[in-house]
Amino acid sequence: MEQPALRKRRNLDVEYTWTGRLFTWSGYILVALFTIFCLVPFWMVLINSFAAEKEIMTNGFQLFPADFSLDAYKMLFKSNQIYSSYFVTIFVTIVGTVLAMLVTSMYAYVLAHRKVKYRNFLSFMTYLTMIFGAGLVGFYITIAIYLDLKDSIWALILPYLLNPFFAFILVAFYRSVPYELNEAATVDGASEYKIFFKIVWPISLPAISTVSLFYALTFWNDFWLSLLFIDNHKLHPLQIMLRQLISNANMKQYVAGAAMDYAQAIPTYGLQMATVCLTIGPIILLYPFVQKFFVKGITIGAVKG
Amino acid sequence: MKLRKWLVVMLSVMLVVLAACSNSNPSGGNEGGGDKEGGADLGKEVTLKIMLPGDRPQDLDKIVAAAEQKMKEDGLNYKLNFVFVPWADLASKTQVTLTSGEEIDMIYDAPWLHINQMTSEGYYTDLTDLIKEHGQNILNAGSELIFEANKFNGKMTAIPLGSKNGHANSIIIRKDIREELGLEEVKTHEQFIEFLRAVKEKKPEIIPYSAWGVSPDLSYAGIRIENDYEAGFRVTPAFNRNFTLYLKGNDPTVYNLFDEMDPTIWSYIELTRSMYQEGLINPDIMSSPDSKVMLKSGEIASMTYTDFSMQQNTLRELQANVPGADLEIFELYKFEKNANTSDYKQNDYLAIPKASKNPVDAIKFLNWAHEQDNYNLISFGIEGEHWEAVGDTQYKPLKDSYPWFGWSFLWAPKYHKFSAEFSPEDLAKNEFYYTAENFEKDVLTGFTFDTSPIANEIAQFNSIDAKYYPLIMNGVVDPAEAWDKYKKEGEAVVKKIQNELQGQIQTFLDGQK
Amino acid sequence: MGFFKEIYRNRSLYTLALPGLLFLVIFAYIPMFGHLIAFKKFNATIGFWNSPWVGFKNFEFFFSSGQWLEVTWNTIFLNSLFIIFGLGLAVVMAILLNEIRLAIVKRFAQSIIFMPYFISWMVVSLMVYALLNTTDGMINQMLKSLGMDAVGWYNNANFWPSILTIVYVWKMAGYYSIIFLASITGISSDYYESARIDGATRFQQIRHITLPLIRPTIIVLALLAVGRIFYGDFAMIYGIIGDNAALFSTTDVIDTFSYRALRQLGDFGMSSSVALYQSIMGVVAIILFNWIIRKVDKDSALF
Repeated sequence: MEQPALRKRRNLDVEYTWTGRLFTWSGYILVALFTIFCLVPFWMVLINSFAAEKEIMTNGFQLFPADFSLDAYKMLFKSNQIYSSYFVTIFVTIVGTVLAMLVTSMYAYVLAHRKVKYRNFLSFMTYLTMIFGAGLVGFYITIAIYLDLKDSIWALILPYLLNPFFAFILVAFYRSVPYELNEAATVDGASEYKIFFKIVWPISLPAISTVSLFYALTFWNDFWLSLLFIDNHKLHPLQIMLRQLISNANMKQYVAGAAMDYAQAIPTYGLQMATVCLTIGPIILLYPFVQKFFVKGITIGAVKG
Repeated sequence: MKLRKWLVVMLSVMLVVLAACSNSNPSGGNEGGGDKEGGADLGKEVTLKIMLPGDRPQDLDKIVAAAEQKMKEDGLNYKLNFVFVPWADLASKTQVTLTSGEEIDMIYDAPWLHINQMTSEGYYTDLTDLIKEHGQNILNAGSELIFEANKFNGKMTAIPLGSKNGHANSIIIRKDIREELGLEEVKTHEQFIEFLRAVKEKKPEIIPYSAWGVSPDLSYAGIRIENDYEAGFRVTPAFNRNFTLYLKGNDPTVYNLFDEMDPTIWSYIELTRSMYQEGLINPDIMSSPDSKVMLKSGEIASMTYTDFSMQQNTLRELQANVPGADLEIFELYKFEKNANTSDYKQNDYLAIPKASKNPVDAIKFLNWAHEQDNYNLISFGIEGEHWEAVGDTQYKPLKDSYPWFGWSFLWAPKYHKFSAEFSPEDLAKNEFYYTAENFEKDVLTGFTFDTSPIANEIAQFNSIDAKYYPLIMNGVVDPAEAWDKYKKEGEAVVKKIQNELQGQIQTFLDGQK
Repeated sequence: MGFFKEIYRNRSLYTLALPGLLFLVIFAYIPMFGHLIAFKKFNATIGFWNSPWVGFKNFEFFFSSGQWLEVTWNTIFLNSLFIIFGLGLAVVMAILLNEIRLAIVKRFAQSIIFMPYFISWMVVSLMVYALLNTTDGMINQMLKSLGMDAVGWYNNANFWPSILTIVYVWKMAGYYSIIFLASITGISSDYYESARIDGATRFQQIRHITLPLIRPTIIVLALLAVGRIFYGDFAMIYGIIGDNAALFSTTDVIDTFSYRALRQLGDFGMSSSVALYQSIMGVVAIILFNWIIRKVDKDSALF
């Protein structure tokens, strides 16, 4: 897979000195340790979603449960909710990410552009919204009453189209793009739109793909908007389904002071873990795909460099 | 490039499907349809939106369809739109919904949630006249006493659900462990503590006792205070689970533990502390998950409980995990006429917000649901498929896809059926509990505490309370030291609340004369 | 005049920004009128404008309690730990990952450390309990098998700043490391090549090339985090600590405090007053921090 040029360069590398090797190896070990640290709990969720309920009940979460069953998954796939929730989540994630990327990348480009006189003012106004958040009531009334987006799928997409945090990540990247490129194109008579879409966008691919991934995650993981604005269960995304399962199981914790014991079916741990796995699954698969773009970003950078 | 094409295709397909979905979806609030293909006299179709806590029952759509059909036959053209809110978000979601003035036709509320606040702020419709006019069935299904006692500031702003009287505490004990240890059935607290010690000594892998959650009214000290029939301690309408302000017997005087510590209450607190130090109480009680889950998994040998009869499904789940396990109940409650007082207040209510545009239709619907057949359909599902009748007053569930959620929505004692798993003894206890005549009427029956004049103090006290009181009642900290701090921070605030409460009670009593 | 001239000259650029600007106005600036509720006895049935003004009355419950100092301190302290260790480890991980030559290992490790980000705080709290509970928690089981006494983690508030930091780092470091990794990937390989020719070691290359070049990204992330330093992560803290009063002295943050104080009362005026306090303090913090950054490195400042 590797190019011969790279291999040759590697021979020159200081990796083959004693300290270099020590450094490399301690780095490998550190990464390995942290990886394991992250992997173990994740493994616990995954394996316990397949564990027999009795195992979890009597022995708690285990690294290697003795008894397995597919009951949790069978139960989840039996209900229609999971299918409609998947559909809603996937739709919101795709449409949301595409729109948000468009809005954010254009906006961030203007904030980073040297020609724009008011870019500092704009930056500040953008930044202010992050720290000086609107209260819940104002936010709710604006969206539910003024915009009338209650029970509309757009309520899950529109409020997240421009995340100042992501915009600033992009601004930081655009700033590192050599300005000469831009100037050269202007001399050639290219319009700002053309410069942005044909020149800046391709160069910023690593940043664009990172931020796209983040947007996709924001949309995928959000339960807050649907909790506030979606009452119709047919439009409930996966995260709300998960929240319902877990919080109702721990309801005693939230229902402070209520002495109640109603005949409510409490979802089991296995079911919760299975739902976690199903909510994580597809988006995890997206990640290696985005990673490829990082790599592509390097080659492009190298050619232009 | 391939990817981009693929994306475009995917997107357009989804958009089309979504558009189709949202068109065919009737609950989108477009009530102006009014298509008259059915009976000509049905009138405009009205969608009633109902907000409840918990899980959506799996077969709800089926039952809703059947109910809508049945209503059409009965001349009511209603669609039912049930919205379920996760427990964790219940308080904030219902509050935002009400506060923003959003349209909703029926909503669950409770004293521990915010029914007092929302009522005194005027968010709920006064139902007195509406029910008289359109809801005779509702009135007929409950006793006048209950409806009278559950008024808020003299107005019927919510329909009480059920007909409980007072509190119901007990302790669940693992019968099999007790027998294995060779102990007598637990009838007194001395025996109970003896049982806990034996468990600790001979069964070290099992936690002897766990209260039910962090809620102080279910701590060991809490249930001892609450079930002391000699002293007759009772919580005040100001704090529904804290004894810092308390009532004694059936008397309207409000006592304050910061003024004078009651020796009996202090002895319960110290006893609980010594039990905790001895290792008889779950050491992680403040952070443990639901104790019922621990009971089912066989981790604990006893826990506080809020009912008289053991639910059979709890026992079954326990036995699935621990073969041969059995449970029994240590009764703290006296089943004697007039031994308990009751203000007949219920735990759960259904209210109609002022923001609703269809209050008359909501009542008409509820009136319809208060007929035996309709009540059965909505409460238990389709007869023969979801349940079957056992005698006149009991039912047997046939499926688990439609668990009873009526406690939050529709619960009329007259039409209610108990589970067929109840033993005759259980039924007798419940009968006692649900009969108002067995209780002495509380002098404060019908009184509602209006918190708005001292909202700041209540908010301050809530946070001081949460910081100390549950720890003290569960024996987790040294009580003398913690009580000093609690008193120092809370004394002034509690005094203000006490004065306000006593004043309002006096006004209420004067008004009754 | 200058204003319109500027707009006209760069009209094509400003049109690019237009959708974003519209978004900010509608979804961020218009909803800000909600802060006015902090000064009102708000009642939706009579409407927002008809609700009476009450001055600073809604602020009383928070500021006269004496606890506001403690919870404010907890919020800042915990968030500082999260920022320092979260970002710190993310930078280290990104650099180390970048040093890994085997593509498969690199990708695998990168994917794994990113995964905890997906696990919701509710599930995290179940896991933390499974690890730490006194009777059969994994850590106490381990201690017991080594002949040590079980530790009552849930009864001692002093452990919790560290525990929460570890949990936070576990969940978020992977996420931030992606940003840094992308930023490192964007560095031209020419720099490294010439350094290598000069005989620089790996470590020297990191110190003199990688770190300075990703410094703007680090500062941007830190600045953004500092702006939110007065906001406690409610989902995290309440999910893990819940109502365990024994741990409040180190873990109770502004958000959990006001949640508990108001959960029964349901008063929007009072909740809004706390939100307004956090917003204003956030602005103060950020202006201060930005001023410091300006002194140190003018180019990296946000504004």
